[in-house]
Amino acid sequence: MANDKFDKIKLELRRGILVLAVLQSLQKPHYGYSLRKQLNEAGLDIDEGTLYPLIRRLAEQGLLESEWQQAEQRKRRYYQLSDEGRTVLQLLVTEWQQLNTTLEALMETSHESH
Amino acid sequence: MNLIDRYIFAVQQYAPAAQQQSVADDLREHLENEVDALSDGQPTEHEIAGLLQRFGSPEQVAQRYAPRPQPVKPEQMPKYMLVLRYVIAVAFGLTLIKSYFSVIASESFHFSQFISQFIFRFIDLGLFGFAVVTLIFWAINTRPQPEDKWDPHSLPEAGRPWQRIRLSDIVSDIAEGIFILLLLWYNVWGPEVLSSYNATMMIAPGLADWRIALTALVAVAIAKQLWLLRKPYWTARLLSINLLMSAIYVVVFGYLASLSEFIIFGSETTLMLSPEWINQLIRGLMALVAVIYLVKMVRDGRRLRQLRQQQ
Repeated sequence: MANDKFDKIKLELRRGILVLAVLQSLQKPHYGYSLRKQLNEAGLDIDEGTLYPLIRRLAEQGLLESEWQQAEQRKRRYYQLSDEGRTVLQLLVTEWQQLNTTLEALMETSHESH
Repeated sequence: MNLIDRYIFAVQQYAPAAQQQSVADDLREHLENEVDALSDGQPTEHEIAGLLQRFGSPEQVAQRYAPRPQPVKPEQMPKYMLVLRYVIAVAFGLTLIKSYFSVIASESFHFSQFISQFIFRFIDLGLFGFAVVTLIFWAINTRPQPEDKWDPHSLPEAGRPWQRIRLSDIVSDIAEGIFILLLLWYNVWGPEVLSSYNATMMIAPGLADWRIALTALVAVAIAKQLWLLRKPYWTARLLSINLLMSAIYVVVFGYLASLSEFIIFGSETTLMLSPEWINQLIRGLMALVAVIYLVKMVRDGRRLRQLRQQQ
């Protein structure tokens, strides 16, 4: 029961940071599969049905730009941060760091009180 | 046709028409890259099926690619369900009345025919009501919503649980008022309806004399309920108004309960109950309404005292 609740909350937590992780990774160009592989190797397991629609949404919002490139067998669409995406990423990173600092302080306080 | 083609086609069917092609192109590109990475680009059908399962069901993937607007927002769902329940209840009541008139107009009565007619009419009217309510909520949702601005000073001066008036109470009071008005002004809509069933009836003079006064009273009551929709909380002032209105209701319905005849039926009308019985039933109903309002008066009196003590 507790594990079920943990899994649900973990999923929500991960969903929240997914955009940040994707934008951070796309400072360098990636096509869909290579991005998923990179995130996986970094320890962020994300399923295909979530990641690819997210990339498309971010591109539609103008945060990513894409370019077709010829690979060995076929053309692949490579995504990279746009100028607007870079600005948004900077803001998100600052926000994330502030949140992290706040949370660490909170955890420390509650640890001391125990 | 391989599994991937079938999958992309299935996803397309769930996507909005304008985006079907772009969703399919996007999905195909990602799937082909994923397939390339599986077993050196030569995956078995079993591996492809596993890959598609990880992507998610076609409906789910289409929703993630191009989320469709929902006709009713989750936060409006309780209100939507409440309105729907009332509409279905009204549809049930109207179907019952219509079926009853069909029975009295027909020469013979067949129970199975009555039930099947009733069910089909109810489904017909119920579906119509469902469609209308859903369309209204959808129209409200598609309008740009104003920013949620509120003033803490507009919070109700209430702290007791009974001070919150339930939406269902307000709606049922409004429905009750409309029903009384329909009965009072039966001569406007009734004769035509009844003549198609070869039946006639009219309001008795005793009741007809009271029609204007009762209409005004019910109209005020409906207006009060509509006003309550904006701020559904009992306050001392509102309770005083309610007490006064209940007192008027007690007097009026108490008097009406003393009348002997409410409805006069035409001689050609064939009824399952005798006219005397129907009038007796209405008299009982009037007395019951008077008693209910008397109980409400006692309740509101106590509540008013509680609020005044609090002040």
